[in-house]
Amino acid sequence: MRLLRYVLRRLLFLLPVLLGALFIAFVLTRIVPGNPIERVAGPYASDERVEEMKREAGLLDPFYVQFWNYLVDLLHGDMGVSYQTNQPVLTDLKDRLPASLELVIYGMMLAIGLAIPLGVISAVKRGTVIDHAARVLAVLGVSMPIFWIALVLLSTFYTRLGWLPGPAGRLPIGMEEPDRITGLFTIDALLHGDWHTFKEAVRALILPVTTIGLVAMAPIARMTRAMMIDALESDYVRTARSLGLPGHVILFRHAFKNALIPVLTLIAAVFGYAIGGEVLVEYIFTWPGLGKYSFDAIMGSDFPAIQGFIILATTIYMLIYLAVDVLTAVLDPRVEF
Amino acid sequence: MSVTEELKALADAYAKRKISRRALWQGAAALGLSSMWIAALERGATAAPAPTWRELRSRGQADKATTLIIAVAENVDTFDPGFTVGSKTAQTVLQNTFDQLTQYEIVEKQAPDGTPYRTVNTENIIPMLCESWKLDGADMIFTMRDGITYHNGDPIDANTMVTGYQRIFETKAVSSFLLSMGGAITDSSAFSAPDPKTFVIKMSKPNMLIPKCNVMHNTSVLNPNEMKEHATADDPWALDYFKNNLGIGNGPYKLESYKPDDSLVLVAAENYYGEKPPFQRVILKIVADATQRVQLLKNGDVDFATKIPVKEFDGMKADPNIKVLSIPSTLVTMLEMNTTIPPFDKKEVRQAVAYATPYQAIIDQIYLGQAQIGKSLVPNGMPTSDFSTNKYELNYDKAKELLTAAGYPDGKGLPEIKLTVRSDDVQWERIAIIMQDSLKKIGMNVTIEKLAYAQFNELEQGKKLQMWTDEWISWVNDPYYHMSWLAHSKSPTNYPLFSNPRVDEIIDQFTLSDDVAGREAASKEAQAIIIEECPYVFLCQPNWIVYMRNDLDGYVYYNDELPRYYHFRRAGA
Repeated sequence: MRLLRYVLRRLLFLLPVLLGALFIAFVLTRIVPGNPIERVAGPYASDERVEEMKREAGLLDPFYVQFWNYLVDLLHGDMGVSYQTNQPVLTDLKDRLPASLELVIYGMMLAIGLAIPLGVISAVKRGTVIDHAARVLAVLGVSMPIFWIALVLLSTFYTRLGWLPGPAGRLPIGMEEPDRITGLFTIDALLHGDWHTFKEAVRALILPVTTIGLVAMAPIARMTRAMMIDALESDYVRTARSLGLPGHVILFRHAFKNALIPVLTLIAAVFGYAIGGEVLVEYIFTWPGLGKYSFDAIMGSDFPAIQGFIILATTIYMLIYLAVDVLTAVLDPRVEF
Repeated sequence: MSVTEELKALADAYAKRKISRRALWQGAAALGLSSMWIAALERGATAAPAPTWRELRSRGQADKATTLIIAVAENVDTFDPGFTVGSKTAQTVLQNTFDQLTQYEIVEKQAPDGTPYRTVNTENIIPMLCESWKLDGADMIFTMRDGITYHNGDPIDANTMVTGYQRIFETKAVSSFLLSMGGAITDSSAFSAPDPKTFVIKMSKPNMLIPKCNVMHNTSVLNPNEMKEHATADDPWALDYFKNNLGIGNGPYKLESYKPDDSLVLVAAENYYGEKPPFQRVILKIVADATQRVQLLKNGDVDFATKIPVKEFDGMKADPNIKVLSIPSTLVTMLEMNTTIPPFDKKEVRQAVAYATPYQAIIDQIYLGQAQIGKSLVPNGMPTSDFSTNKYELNYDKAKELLTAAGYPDGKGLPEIKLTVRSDDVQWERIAIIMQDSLKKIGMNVTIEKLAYAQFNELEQGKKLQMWTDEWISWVNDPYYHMSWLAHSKSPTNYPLFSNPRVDEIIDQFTLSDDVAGREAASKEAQAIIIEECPYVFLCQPNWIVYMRNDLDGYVYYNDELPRYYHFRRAGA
């Protein structure tokens, strides 16, 4: 019950944060030169016509009027219409979110699945070959730019070896997508029992997911290793050892559980970073997701689309942090709500 | 030993107390990890190669003989033919799904390297939706074909055309700016249909320019029934509807599906009146990143790719599976200077820049030789083009003299100069770097500013840039059309704010004229003035380069740069 109250309180806290993020986005888009209208009007339109169109779009109104109008529309569930796609921003976001989620979720699963065992093993086997190998991998993951990893993977597995599909999106060109249930192609194909589509969707996912996975894995593995080493050298572990507790009990019930708490927080941060890093991955792999959408929106000064993306990204980010806080509370009895 | 066997062995060893429990867990964890790797590697090694066309065909997804796959760069911005200005994808789709009143004759030509190619003769306008057309004084008279329809069977006659052209003017569509050039047509009363077979456009003066507008996709005529169906009291021309929905067409193809950021599919229209296109289906795959369009083409996943940066030219040329056509074009690349912002308000400074421009280096280094010299606003390939008065060539001494004459000896006293470029194609920045380097030699220090296209557009269209690079191609291959946009003091696209009374006078007098000799002489006079006044430095005329798979044939270059997919066929098919 206390947990529920805590979650509700945190959800309520989402509102001012969203408002703040939105305000900053609004200020930034209006300060930086660039305006969606010139592009829509085209070069042949007279200056008067461009001014008229700006006025119609409300872009000549004072800043606070624009902001207020946007908030009022937002409360009615209207995020405006994108200048680049001519679709309601809400529809655009709904269409693209599953594609991005499919990448980020699988990418993070891969990262966590690799990083935590790797970090634990390195800590336990400190100074051994496994430890060094894991650390090299982690340093590479941190230091290699994400787009570079993507390009290397593509040129190896697509261009040279031809094992995996190229940067042509979520399915081979010309293939029908599965009827939408969740929007995640792998899940939808499975639900429809369509193995062929499932296989193709997985094949298309391998390279972009690996890219995100490798990059996200590195900091998590490093943090896990450092926290495990701290824990293994701590007084309570020494005490446990002196009491003659079995090694695996010390390792998992005492050391690992304590080491996991800061790692969880880091995972949330990395998740946020992955949502940002996705822009490049989506761009390179022609992935029809939010990353590419937001990139185009920023390049084209598509104000409603930028604002819509920021609302969605902030919400996702906040929800992940909330989930991590709840998990921390479950793991760590010292945490009070 | 398989992973399972190893795990079993570990468990056995533990059971017999050969190893500690800790060692058992460690071994199992390590095994688990490595088995994941091994499994991943095995999967990779045995995974089938990317599906070939044969496989796809066997699955009924695509048939190489009847399906054409194109990699395009952008989404559709609007499907309304009156308002397409940005997205080439939208323009190409409209061009392939709608026929216009008239079209250009197709001719064979040879590229400078000897490769034959097909292009259009813009001086010969032949019928398309009409059966014949003629100029009668200041009237264009079109006799419509019998029995032609939209894809849904609705008939097309002269009255259809009247509604369509009226829509252009009533909605202030882009094409209304073109049709009203020189005051040729001022409102929608110019369009009439004395009988269902005859469509008349009344112009203010006889001329050869406006007829060229009727070949552009911007003049595509929407189905009046469909328009009525989606019109509202506030929106009688159904602008909202056609923004997001491609109208029922009358061309060789119709749109089957559109998924933003993914693809568009065109299929051949069953009841098209003309010749059936060789490709039954055309898939336009939207691939935003140019490098990936190149990769997909090289790997044979697509047949044709658009918007490939020129830096890929050598690599593509060397690929035996790729056919490259480098076609001379009327695109002009220019360094532009705002004639109202110091120091470029002084003619001598602008001329100094023209003398300090390394023209050949730009052609060789930026365009890898795939460009022709361009020395006038009216490009080579457009009637009346005249380079003869252009004396600018790389000459730092001359440039320094001019700077001194302007009151800036060795560049002393020059205000801060910003050279602004768009960030969407790396060529702009590279040109800027070459210019920065060269201008430094005459004492002109320039800082480069790189902007996203929306920011760049706003500043350029607002005439707020000081010095910048851009390019221009006129879809109507006429010198007065071209100069009206770029050199008339009242033009919204005269970004350098160049203003010369004589040039204005010439443009006003000859834009609408059928005096061929008078037009030519006056055009040359105007070009000479523009070269002397130097608001633009003409860097070069880059070639239009297209890349396709070797087995693709039939490409025709149009001066609007939009490929017509109905010309394409497989080699040997």
